[in-house]
Amino acid sequence: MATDAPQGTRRNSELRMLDPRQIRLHRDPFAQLHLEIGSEERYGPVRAVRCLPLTRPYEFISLQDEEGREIGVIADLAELSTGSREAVEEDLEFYYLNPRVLRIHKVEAKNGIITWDLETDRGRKKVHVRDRQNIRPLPDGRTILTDIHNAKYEVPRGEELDPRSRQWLEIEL
Amino acid sequence: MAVDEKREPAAGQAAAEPEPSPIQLPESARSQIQPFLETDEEIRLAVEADMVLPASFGTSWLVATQRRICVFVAGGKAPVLKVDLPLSCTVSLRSRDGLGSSLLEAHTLEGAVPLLRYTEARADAVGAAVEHLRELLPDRPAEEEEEAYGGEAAERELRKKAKPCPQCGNPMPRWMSLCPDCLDKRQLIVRLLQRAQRYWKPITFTFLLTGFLRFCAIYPAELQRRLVDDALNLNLQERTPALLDVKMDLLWQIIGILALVRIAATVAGAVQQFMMTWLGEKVTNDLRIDIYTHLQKLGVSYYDQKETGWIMDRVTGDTTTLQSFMTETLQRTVLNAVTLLVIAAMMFSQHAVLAMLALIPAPVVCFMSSRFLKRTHKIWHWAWRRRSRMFALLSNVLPGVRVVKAFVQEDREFERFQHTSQEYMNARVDAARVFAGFSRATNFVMSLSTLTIWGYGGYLVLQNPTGQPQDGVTVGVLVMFMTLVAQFYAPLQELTNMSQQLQQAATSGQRVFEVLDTLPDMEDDADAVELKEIAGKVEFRNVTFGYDERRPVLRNVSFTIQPGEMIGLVGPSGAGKSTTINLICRYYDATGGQVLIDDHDVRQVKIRSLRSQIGIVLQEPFLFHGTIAENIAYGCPDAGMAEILAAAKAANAHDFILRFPDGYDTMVGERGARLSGGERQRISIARAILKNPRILILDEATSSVDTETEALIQEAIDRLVHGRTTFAIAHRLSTLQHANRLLVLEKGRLAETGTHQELLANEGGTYRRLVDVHRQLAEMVGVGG
Repeated sequence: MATDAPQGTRRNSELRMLDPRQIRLHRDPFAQLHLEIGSEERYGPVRAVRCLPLTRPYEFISLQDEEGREIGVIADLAELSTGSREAVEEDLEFYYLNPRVLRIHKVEAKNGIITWDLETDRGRKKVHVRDRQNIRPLPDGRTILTDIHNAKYEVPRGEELDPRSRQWLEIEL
Repeated sequence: MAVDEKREPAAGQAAAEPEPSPIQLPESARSQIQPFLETDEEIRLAVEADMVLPASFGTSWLVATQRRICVFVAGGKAPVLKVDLPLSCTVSLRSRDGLGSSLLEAHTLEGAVPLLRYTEARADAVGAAVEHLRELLPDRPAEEEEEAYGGEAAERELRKKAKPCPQCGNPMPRWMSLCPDCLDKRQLIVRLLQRAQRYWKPITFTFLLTGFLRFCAIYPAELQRRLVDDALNLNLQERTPALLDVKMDLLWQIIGILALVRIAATVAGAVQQFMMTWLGEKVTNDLRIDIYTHLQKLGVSYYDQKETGWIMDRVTGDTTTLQSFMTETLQRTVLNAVTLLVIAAMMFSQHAVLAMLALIPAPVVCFMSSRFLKRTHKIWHWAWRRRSRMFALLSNVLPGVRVVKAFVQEDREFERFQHTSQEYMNARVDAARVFAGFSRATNFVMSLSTLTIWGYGGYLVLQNPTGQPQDGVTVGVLVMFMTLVAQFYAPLQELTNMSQQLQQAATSGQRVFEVLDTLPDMEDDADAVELKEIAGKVEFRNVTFGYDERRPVLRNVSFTIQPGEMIGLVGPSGAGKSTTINLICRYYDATGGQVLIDDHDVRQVKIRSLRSQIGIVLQEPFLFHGTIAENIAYGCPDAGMAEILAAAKAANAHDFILRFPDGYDTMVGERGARLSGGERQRISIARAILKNPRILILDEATSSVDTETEALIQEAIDRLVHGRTTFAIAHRLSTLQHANRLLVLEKGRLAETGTHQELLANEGGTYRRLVDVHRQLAEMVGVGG
């Protein structure tokens, strides 16, 4: 059975963009996200998924039910009320653990694995990255490292780093 | 009468009339053939073929007079008459194409008479002759023949396009504007230089700098002579304090100049080196960009004919060769020549005999160098081929490692590699051996110069009664000679090598210009109109087309498709389905007939405006290196993100895309390696949906996926198809059930049209046969599974 087509439900072919004025979101005591659209529709628990987690992390948020079926898409979190926005952001924060790199201590390449000794906003970590394919520069100058466990680390633009870190980064790019 | 007019060879008219003379017969053969003919018979047409019947190589001639067709075979002394066929018996002519050669037959009422066998090389000439010959035939049954050989009219038209080279007369490749045989290497170099023209200022500047550097290298020789002869030459008797002071001053002066020359050389050297590199990069970059821009202009047909590797090599490899030629080889050639002349002049001005003796080894070195080059060239070439064989082996075996392991062939592969690797090594060792021997030998010959100078020069110095310059050879002159000789041989050897580099550059230049000279076969007519938003009506009027000049793929196909109709294109492989699509997109132009979109001939509208309204979903969807979002927006870079998401949603792609950790930011590999076939297919459908074309082409869009994914794709396609004129090619006939009509093609002809039901009802029809075969297959699978 294809997961795209759960039994009994017609696949929705149209993208539903949610009207920011119509929706309310909140987290319940169990940290589950709930969605209300207008006064009739209620969903919960729902999950927030980023359509463009790297380039536009706070826009185009897909809200899905537990089965992974999409309820609708929020175009821009900034248009939501403060409470709703915070609820979604908390949910996203949990799901997308994207440590931000503050400093690069050292980069070593050995046997095709590049080991980055990083100071992140979540503490110091040695990150192992396989192949250069997993070091991905974004158009805005940031760099995303994907380690061997598929965790992602965001390296800010070179100008925002100290000279030593910038050097390490430039060598690897 | 038209025939009579064409009969005359009319050499003077050749320039005005593009049609070549129908009589293509060497004068010697003509005189030998004449005796076979009756006195009042005159040759109306002749053509030479490069084969002899039945099937061997040789020369034969087909000669037609007003009465008969004769075929002669070139014999030892005189031609032999092989075929003698009265024109009155000949009903029609037909050429049959084999692989690599063709046979021309005359059809009489009794049967076929083989006339001429010829290879592809002569196909155009014979084809043109046959056309003339047909005009000589009596009361040609026009309709019958048209029916029997419907493709030939179009074939003839195609053949006309392969124009002969105006210089050598050989037929040129259709895609070239210059004949590759007539390319002059010298002309190539001139063309290359023309490309560097816009940089003439920096080029002149570097040239002068290099000249100055050479001067800096040679001039110290003269200074050294003065140092020895004037400054350090002091007889004990003359040793007075005043003279000593003068000599000291002179010494310091010369040392000072020497130091200045060294400093100037260092600075100039740095600047020159930078300028050379800078210029080289500039020129190559220009060339690369020119080639790439030109490649983008070329039509699909070009890419069908050339391998990607072949094209890439021209953009990268050959431009690099040209770079070193333009910036180094060229400058060095001139400067080396000048250096040699200056050095020789300096030597001769000092002492002609000594100079002569010192330069005796020069011709020997030249001779040895060129011999050596030829020899090493072979060895290097050999080594190079071994190396590419080694690479080929690797790139062949490594991707197929599963197969190797499955068949337990590791040992064999190991041996194969060991063997090629060893051969490569042997070639290099060979080259090293030859090189070592040669370089020592030339060094020895060159050292003879030094010996001669010491020997004969020393003798001359001792003969000099006063030791003063005005009385004969001095020690200073000897020192100067030694310095100059040391500088003489390097440029000499370089000059000998130059011819090889010149050759290389010419080859690269030829390869590069081959691309640049290729004419885009598909260009907008000057009066082409912009195609407005179309409704989607598509009409074929008697369309005939062939990729190969002699083999039509579509013959006389006509149909009309109303806007919004969904059409299934059905037929066995090679029936012309994809060709039909190629003509609608105008990747190629029909050779005969017309393709009309909304009643506009596609040849009279701007290509961009046509293609922007056509969407294509291919069997092997091509995704570019980039993110999924970028790939969906490929046809419409300005699309908003919400539109992209909506398109993906409609293509049943949104859900699986969101399951990737990076969502729409997910990078797609060069060929979309990280996505499954069905996923790639749905992304390409989303791309088509976003483009919102009026005409949609689905080329076997569901053939590469499993049944379940097929359902998802089919659903997406149904949404996409809605309200657009659609052409769908599918081998699985089930996917065409929604089609309004089916066009059944067979062997390039439109065999049937109608709905699925109508065609099924036609017992003995092509479609019915195809469906039956499918059913049988399905049953077999059912039994087997």
